Amino acid sequence: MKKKLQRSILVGIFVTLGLAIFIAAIYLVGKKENLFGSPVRVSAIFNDVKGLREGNKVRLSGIDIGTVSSLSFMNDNRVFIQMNLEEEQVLYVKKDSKVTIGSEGLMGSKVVMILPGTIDGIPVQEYDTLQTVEQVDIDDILEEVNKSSQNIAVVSSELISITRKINRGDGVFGKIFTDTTLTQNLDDATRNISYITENLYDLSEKVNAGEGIVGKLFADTTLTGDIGKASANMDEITNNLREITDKINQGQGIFGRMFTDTSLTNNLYVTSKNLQSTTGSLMLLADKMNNDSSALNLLIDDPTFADSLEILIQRLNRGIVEATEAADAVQRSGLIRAFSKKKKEEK
Amino acid sequence: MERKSPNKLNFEQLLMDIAGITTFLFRYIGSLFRNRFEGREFINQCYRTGYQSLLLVGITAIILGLVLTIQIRPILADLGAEAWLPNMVFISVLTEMGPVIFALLFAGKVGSGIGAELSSMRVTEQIDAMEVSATNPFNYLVVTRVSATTIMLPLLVFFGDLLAFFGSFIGLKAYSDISFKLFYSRAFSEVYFRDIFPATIKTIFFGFFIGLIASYMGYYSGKGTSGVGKAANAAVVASSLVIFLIDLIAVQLTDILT
Repeated sequence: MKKKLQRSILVGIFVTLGLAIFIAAIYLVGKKENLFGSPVRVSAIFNDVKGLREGNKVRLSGIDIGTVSSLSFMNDNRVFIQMNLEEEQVLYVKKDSKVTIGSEGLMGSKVVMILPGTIDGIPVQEYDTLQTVEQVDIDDILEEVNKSSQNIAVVSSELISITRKINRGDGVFGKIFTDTTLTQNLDDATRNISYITENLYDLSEKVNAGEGIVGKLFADTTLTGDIGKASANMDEITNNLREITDKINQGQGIFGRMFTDTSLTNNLYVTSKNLQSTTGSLMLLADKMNNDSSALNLLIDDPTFADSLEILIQRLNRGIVEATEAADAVQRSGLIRAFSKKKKEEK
Repeated sequence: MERKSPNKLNFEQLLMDIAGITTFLFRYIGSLFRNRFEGREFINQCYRTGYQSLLLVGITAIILGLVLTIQIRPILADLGAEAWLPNMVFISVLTEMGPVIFALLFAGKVGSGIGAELSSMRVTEQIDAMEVSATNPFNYLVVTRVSATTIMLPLLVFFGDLLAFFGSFIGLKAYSDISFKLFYSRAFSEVYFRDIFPATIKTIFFGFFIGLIASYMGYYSGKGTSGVGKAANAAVVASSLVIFLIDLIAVQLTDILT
């Protein structure tokens, strides 16, 4: 009886421990899958979930904060995923956080990665939908690599043809590698360059010694003094120019008024208007003068009139001379002299 | 009823055994609900099948974890994926290797024991005597044993999984300075309910069929002392085969359901 009791106790302990292991395993896995807390459910919509499964982890900044609870198709063939996030970690997931699908290493399973939002953003709430970022698929990368490798193959084949042409001596590069005269020319050119550099060396030595104009430029102190004076004069000139421009800007003097006084410009405008009308009148006058019937035209253009006028003037001159002579004769007469003497006395 | 040629695996015998085990199964279910449950004998069988198998399963489990870790570690280290070792070993033990290996051990130890015991009772006509004395031998001998194996094997597998987990940790600790917390974290990182529940349900079926087949082989063994050995042998062979068949079906079902 005692033995049977002992067996019963041992069996009891055995069963209890076995069940305890099972319950512990359930608890640990359940805790990992966030089954025993009160999770916050948030969702996201993806075009491609890349093999994501229910129960996969949700990570924020590398820390597991939840699991994927469900995946379902939407009407537009996009995939709606729902995530259970741990209540105490939800504070760090902001409304402007973005969600993407990554993987745990090359061979690892897929994970939903939450990219942190702004620090002072509002935390997500139950049933919020987070924005998504579609990751570049490994297939797309491989496709790009494939294109690149094809391009490399084309480039390498072209390089082969180029190197063949160079080996044959075609083109400029071919001549570089095969033409011996080119190398001779290059040799001559380098010799010339050497000669030039030697000359330049001599020249620089002379300049250092103060020989010639350039040497004086560097060595003669009086020249630098003159240059200094010239620059001082230039400085003064520029100062004067600055003063003049200042005065012009201030409206002083004629130029200043020209640029600043609006009344002057108005007057100039009126004057130009008047000048325009005057020139118009002068043009009319000139037209009239050109007309044959006018007196002025006769004066200017008619030669017979000019001849007549000349004769007239000659006759007048002769008349005047004769009149002057007559007047002198009169003055010399006694009667007239007496009369003029009486007049002087009266004065 | 007596099995015609228990030492031969011919097609006719196979079909007869399938029919016999199916009948035995329904008889067990009927007896479980209809007759008085022999609690004392059930506890006794739990002690013998479960508790007394713990040492064997425990040692095997530790060695299993240890060996798997030591064998897989260099391959994963070459791939640069040594961090996956705890997870890989633990999942393989939890989902497949643990249940199957522990069930095979259980079939070898407990199945043969049940087959031999019931067969010897049949040979020595104790079962006939029980029938004569109005004691239901099926209820007393078969129901208690099948119930005990059904419950004890999953519990043994839980113990075995835990010890294999420690064995794996010891194996890894010998090569790298990994903390237990990190090992635990990595081992459980990819374990989900979809790994635990199918394995547990599978082991319940393993235990049930080991008990049922062993009991059937012993209960209907041939006459004579050679019948005892043959019954024990047939119990182990048939149980082992059924373990793999159930495992195959379970894998298919798990794959469909998850």
